[in-house]
Amino acid sequence: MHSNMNEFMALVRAAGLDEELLAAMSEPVRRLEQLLNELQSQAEELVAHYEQACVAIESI
Amino acid sequence: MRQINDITMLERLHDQVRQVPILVQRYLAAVAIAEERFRLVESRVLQDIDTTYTEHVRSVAHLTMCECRSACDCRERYTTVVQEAQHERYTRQSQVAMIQQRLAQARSAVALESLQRQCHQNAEQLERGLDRLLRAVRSYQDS
Repeated sequence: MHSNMNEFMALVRAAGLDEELLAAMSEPVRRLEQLLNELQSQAEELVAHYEQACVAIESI
Repeated sequence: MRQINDITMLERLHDQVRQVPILVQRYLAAVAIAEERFRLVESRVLQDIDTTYTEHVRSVAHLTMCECRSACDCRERYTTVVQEAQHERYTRQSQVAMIQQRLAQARSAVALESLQRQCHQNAEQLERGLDRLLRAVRSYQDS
């Protein structure tokens, strides 16, 4: 295992991979995290709407 | 921008990406449970409105029949009661419709389906990339 960044990057470069590829991976990771956060907050928002609707309809 | 700083992190990331469909299913399951709960409550409330209406008309009509002396009075009172009950039922049904409409607006305001699709596409793309990256690094280590 290579915990040192420089060592790891040297390994990656030696393996024929470059930093650009690693950097290119960072963006989809960030995007996925953002999408999941968005999905979670929208799901929570919708659940809250359903709960409010349940209370409102029961009060009729 | 976050940096991927070692192979352990790559492996961890790989595992996390594999968990994405489960995470997405969990969020959607919470929404499905809320939807189901609302449908049950809604159906019970609608049934209550109809039952109350029918019982109200029936009981007042019975009282009216017993109390009224003339058939004319009886018919008049019965008609009034039915009209009042109909109005009451209409009001309650309008309230239900308003809540249903508000909920439909909330449902269309969120884009769960589109987000879900994007998450899956992104996770698949990422998993392919991470697979390639891990294979390359491992094969270099083995050589």
